Amino acid sequence: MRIQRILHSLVLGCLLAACAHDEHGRAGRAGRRTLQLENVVALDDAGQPILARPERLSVGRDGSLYIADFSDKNVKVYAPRGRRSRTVGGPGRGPGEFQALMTAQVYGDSLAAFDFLDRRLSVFAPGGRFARTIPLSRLGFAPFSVRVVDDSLFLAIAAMPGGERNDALALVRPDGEVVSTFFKLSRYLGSSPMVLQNVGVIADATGGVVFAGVAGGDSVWAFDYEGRRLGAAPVDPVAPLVTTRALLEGNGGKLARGDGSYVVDGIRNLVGLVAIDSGTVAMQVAPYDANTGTDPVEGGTFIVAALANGRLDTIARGELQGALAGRDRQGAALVLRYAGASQDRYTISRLRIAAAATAGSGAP
Amino acid sequence: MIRAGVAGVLCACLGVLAWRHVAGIRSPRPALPRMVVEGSKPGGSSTVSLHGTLTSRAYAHAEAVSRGADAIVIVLRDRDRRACEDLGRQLRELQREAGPRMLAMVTTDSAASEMYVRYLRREHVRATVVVLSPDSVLEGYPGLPTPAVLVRHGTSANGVAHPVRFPNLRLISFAAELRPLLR
Repeated sequence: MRIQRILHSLVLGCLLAACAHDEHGRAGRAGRRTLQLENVVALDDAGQPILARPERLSVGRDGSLYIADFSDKNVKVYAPRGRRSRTVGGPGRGPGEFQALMTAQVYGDSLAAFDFLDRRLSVFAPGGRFARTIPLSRLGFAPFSVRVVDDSLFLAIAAMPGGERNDALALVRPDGEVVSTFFKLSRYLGSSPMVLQNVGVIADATGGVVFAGVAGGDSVWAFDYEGRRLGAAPVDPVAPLVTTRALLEGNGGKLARGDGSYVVDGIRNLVGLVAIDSGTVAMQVAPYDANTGTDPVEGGTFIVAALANGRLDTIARGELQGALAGRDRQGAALVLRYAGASQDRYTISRLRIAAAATAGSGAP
Repeated sequence: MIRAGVAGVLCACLGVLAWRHVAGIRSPRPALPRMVVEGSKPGGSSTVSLHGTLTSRAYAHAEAVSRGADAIVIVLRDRDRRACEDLGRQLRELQREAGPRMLAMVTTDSAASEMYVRYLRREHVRATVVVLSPDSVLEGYPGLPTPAVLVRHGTSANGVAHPVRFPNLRLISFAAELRPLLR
């Protein structure tokens, strides 16, 4: 009787697993599951200058929220309930100051922030005081951005043009030692300076996997920390992206058309990428405005892809307001969006994969 | 009689023309912008001081925006928005310094106005965008250096321009330079 019950449970378990696998597979191929936002916290700047151009959001061990502000050249820190608690760094050229703050993320109990113009990765102590810089001189390229992977690794991302000639990604230890380099893009991007000036690498890593794409490209790749390719796929299989290279080559290598408009204007671009866990990546695609740039906070198409058997399959897709900005400590992607039409307050939401959409429900 | 009248009118016209010609030569032209170079300060350089009178069109726009009160007039050309990575931060700082009482308007040419609306919204700068060529803001300054920020009081306007580009950061900001005028 007991053996029969165990066998019954095993069969039921296998059936459920098979159903789940089938569901996952079908969802992957068709992108049938959609995405929803679940509010986490509303930000309150408490009378201080509000977040102007958020670039990256991360969550500290105590639940504090750290957001790099590219325009204000500082890092705005919010208590777990959303009230602004302090500001780290500021505009300038001295230690702990920024000219072009590309990203800032929690690093252990500290904060690591990268300045593109100074090529400087600064570490701030828990209280916000500048502590030291992490050397990046052993990289084989000029970094455009640096992501915190974990307490012992950073992911350096090469600037274009220049970075395409060698590997465009490198994993670096806090003492500056380069662990691995990979992601050679010369064949994918070509050598046209016009193409290279209008593309940029976007990458993130966690749990042993690096996910990478190109703003101005059409694909996403996954690598292990040794740089071995684990899989690749189109960023958006439902509505494939058109590459900047194809657009420029179709216009005789020129950015501007005869009427003065730009070939890249209005084209859907990869604007955000967050590694959720060792097998899943969240991406944001939004139309590119050649005149004013893209404001990711205005939203776009969000795509979640999962790595399995050497493939990256889209498992969910949806149109959402907000910018894909980071992940929480439980591994959920976080989205930063405006709280209202006045755009003077933000909320942070968690990206959730919703149940499969029924046929004809309108979900893409 | 008629001939005498026509001759009189002609003489009068010639007299007026002659007077205007002489007056044009003799009357002082608007002062040229004063150049103040800050080469010794890191991150700062080539601030151009501007002192002048608003054109009638600029004055009308300023009146409509601020209803007679002092106002900030931000003068931009399209290249300023493209090239100045620090413009948004500087304009927000300027508005904080001026306080909510002093309203701001951005003048730019018609081709760029919609882009400016989007740009200012993204940068969280509250200002009314008006279509007015930067060359038509101040009397006698057809080549007004930009980006420029003027504080207008009645028909007069005083301020500074930052025509030299600094990648990403200009340490000496509009707000710092215009602080005495904003209080």
